[in-house]
Amino acid sequence: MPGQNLKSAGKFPDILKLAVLSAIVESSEDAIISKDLNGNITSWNNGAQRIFEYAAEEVLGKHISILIPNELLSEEEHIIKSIRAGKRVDHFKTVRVTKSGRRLHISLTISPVKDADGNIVGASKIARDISRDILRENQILQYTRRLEMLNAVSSEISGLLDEHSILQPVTDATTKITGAAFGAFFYNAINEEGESYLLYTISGAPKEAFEKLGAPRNTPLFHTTFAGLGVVRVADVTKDPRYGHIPPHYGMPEGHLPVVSYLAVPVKSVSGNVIGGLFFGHPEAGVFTEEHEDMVSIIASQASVALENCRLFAEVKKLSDKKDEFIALASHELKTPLTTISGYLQVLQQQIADDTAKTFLDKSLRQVHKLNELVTDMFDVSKIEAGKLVLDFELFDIKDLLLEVIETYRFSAKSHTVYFEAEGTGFAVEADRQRIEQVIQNLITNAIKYSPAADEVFVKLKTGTGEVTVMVKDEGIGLGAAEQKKIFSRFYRVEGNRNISGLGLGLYLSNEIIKRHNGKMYVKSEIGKGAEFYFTFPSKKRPA
Amino acid sequence: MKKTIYLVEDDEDIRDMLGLILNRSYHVVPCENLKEFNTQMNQSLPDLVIMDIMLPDGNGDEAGLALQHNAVTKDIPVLFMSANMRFELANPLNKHSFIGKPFDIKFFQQKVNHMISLQ
Repeated sequence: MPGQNLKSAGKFPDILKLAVLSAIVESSEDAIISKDLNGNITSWNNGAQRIFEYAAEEVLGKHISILIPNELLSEEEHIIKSIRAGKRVDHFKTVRVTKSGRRLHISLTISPVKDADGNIVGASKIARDISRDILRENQILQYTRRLEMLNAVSSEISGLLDEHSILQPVTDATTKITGAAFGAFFYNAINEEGESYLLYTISGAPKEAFEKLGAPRNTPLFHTTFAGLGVVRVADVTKDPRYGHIPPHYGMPEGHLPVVSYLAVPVKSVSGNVIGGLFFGHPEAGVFTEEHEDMVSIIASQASVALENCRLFAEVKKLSDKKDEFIALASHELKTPLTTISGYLQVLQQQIADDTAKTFLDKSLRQVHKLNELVTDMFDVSKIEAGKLVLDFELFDIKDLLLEVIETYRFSAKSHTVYFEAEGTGFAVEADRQRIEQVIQNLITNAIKYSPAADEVFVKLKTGTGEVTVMVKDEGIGLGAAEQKKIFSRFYRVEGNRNISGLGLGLYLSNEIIKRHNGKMYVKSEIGKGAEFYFTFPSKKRPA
Repeated sequence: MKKTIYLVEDDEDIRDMLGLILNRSYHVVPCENLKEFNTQMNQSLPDLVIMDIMLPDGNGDEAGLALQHNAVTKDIPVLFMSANMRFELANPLNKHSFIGKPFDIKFFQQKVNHMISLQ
């Protein structure tokens, strides 16, 4: 720094000091310029000549504004104002123009120059060429932006499960990153009939610009991409030896976007098959770089993973839909013979007087009923899984419903007495009556089933602020803490009770039904001390 | 004179079973499919229609809706029955005249009696 050198020059006599000073100024890499308060240049060192390309004699006496770009002329006013006030301007980053008209990024430090009496008579100006720093900064900025874009596009597409919504952001992002005038993503998809068809997305050009052209043909130029042989990057495609000799178009067909710079990156599936390609064009030559190639390749591989995911998802969904369809069909088919069996058994029950025969019929009918419930549960589960369980809300009195359900157990469950108690007032609820009935039945049936040694079940209804709670308590075998966590999951059954039958769907269904009513289901239990299941839901249907 | 019921059901055993239950009180005309049902409708109108939903030549639910939209037939009550769920009905208003298979025959008889008596 010149300032430090001046201090160490302190031991020299004044005359020598000046010589040292001027040597330092002359040898500085930076431009060191002085000017008077009118802005006229009064000194000009070698550094200034090197940076601004003017020789000293060309600029001495001229106004400093010859270095300032037109749009920045007002800067000089501010600088002079500061200098007049005796203030320094430090590391001011700006742009100046050289003799040949080049624009330079520079950093300026300007200090007032005082005469022997301390009056401000001018300014000294040190200008450093920071074009390279700025360039590097811009590069880093650009690099960061690209990384951000890369990151954004990969997180955007990784969660998507349909093809088009993956192709579009990938096309847009890669077109932007490469600076292409237009980009396209051609992708081979397979439809349900197993036929392959071409999907494509476009960025930077209207869809019609591509529609006229049809799919890229398997010409030598496109072949490399569609055969997955690698990236094709051409500075001027019209000069490529492969270009212009292929019928029917012999070059780009009429109406084709003007492509000179050309970049094509194959998109391969995880298994290595080429599933498509990304194509970029620009009307100027030499636009695409190796870096662009790398960036697009990275995005292409992420796109292929995302596309693979969406293919797998579609496959799983198709299978799952088939399963639901099958269960719906199977349950319908199973119920048809059940209808006849149950009908004739009931007719017989009315006609037969013999007690033993009546007992057999009762037992048979009970089993038919059970069979029907299993089929219904199976059907319900498939509906819930497919998100197609439709609730049919209506206004009804839940106390009446509970009494009605409990009444049926007086005949069907002779082993247990079901006690009922209601707390509060106003038992009108807006809910799916049949589904709530199903839940209550499930809880009471379970309570009886899992308390073979007991003979009592307690049902309690409570109404509170805008919600109702139904509790069903038994004195049965109970549940451990670990079991309580799993009890509402599908196909779960309390272990060690293999002789108690069931599919393990009841509580799963009940819980789902209550959830669909915006309610919650809970269990309180201890092994050997019975279990209490209860559910709460808003008595008025909440708008979805 | 016995009142007339058109029973549209493609399963022969269910048709016979329901016929057995209803024959004592009603004149039951069994129809295997919608084509037969339409032929019957063109000859004379019943007092009640019992309509299965999944039929080989169409959807009983839609056929029921068509009856409701026809000035001549709109007052004929229709009792829908299906092994499928009630929410699969095209017209939610029909849920009160729906019965799920299999059913309690006493309940079924009550339902039929009730719907016919409203005629």
